[in-house]
Amino acid sequence: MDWDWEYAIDSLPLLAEGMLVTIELTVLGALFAYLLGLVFAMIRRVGVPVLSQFVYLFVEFIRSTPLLIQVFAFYYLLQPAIGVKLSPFLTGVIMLGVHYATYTSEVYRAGIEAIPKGQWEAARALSIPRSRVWTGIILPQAVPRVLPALGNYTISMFKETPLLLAIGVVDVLNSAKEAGAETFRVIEPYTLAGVFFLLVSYPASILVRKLERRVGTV
Amino acid sequence: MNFEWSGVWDAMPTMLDGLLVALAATGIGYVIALILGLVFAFLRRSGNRWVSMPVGFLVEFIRSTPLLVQLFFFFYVLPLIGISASPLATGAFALGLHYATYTSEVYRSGIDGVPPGQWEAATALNLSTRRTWTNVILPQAIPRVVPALGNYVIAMFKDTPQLLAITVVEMLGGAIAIGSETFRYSEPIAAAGLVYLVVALLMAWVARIVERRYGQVRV
Repeated sequence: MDWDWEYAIDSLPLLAEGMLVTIELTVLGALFAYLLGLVFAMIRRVGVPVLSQFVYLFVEFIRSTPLLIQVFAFYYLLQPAIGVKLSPFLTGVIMLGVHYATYTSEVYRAGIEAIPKGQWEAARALSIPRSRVWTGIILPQAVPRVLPALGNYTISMFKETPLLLAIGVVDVLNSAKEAGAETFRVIEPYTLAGVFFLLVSYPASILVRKLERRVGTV
Repeated sequence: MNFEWSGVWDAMPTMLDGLLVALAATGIGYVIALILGLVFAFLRRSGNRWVSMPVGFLVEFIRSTPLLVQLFFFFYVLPLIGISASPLATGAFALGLHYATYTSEVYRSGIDGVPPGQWEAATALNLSTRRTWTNVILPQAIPRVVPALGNYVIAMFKDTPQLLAITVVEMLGGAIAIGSETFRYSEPIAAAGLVYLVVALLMAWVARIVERRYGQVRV
């Protein structure tokens, strides 16, 4: 086994392009997951009849099945069934977002439950309208505390993006695979793909740890 | 599109074969993760900087890169350096190694959770290092981490479809194989999802029972 530096450097531009796609997927998917997770958590918390039970079942279902199966099912089965054709990239964003929304909804739940009861009671005593209670009192206290947990999920999301290879999203791993398939040299592109992930997710995890120290964990 | 439940039913024998493969990968990988994780946790606590630093780097490296990248790496690179193993063995090893880095953090938090007084008492009683670990620290640290360790089995089981990338045919692989023969993918993939769901829920249930029975520190 020998390591060819020249080939490694040649494959860098292709991998960097793939990395850009990976980062885009993660950022968009994470935004989707943060919002949808919050919606799930609030529906559960407020106890909207029927919808609340439905969300509970949906969350348990998604959490208990592998992401890869969901991606397959959504891309190859559900989309033809309802007659839409989304790009692999968009499918990836939606599936990552929905899958991680079920995790983030649990995170928000923990954050909301950690708010002292007195805050709710005080809000009621001051007869603040319900929407203001959420936007003005509960969420501003709950969300900062769960930021580290959300950050951790964003990192694991980032590390799950290569799964989207299965539906043909050209991310960094797929680029590595392509590079390897052309030249029959696999060591350099796969190693570099690993290094790329490390370069992003290790600093990110240090950042999350700093955030954790700042706001304290729930 | 029409969905036929009989197709789901017909896929079940293949799914059960796939389930055995997935469970084998999870089982072997989990044993590796439990043991290797403890070894990593020990080595990272070692006072020798030349031991703890490289191990720390290895753990952070593996934790920060995707399992799928590691699977590809082991599958394509290990044969190049003269180690050949079956895809299933490679997959189970990669799963085990990946999760060992998570379990090592779990063990670390468990060990950190043992009050310092216990260490001091062990020193005061002149217990040897080995006796301190086996009779004082670990019996208190392990029960604390049982719930977290249980959750990782389930996570690991749900990661097994990724082994498809290195040609291990578990449930999703079996479903795709059926689909490519019959040109009907919906039913077998639904069957695979169903089996994953049922088994993952069962595992969660068993994990809660184990937690309740062994999750308390006995004094």
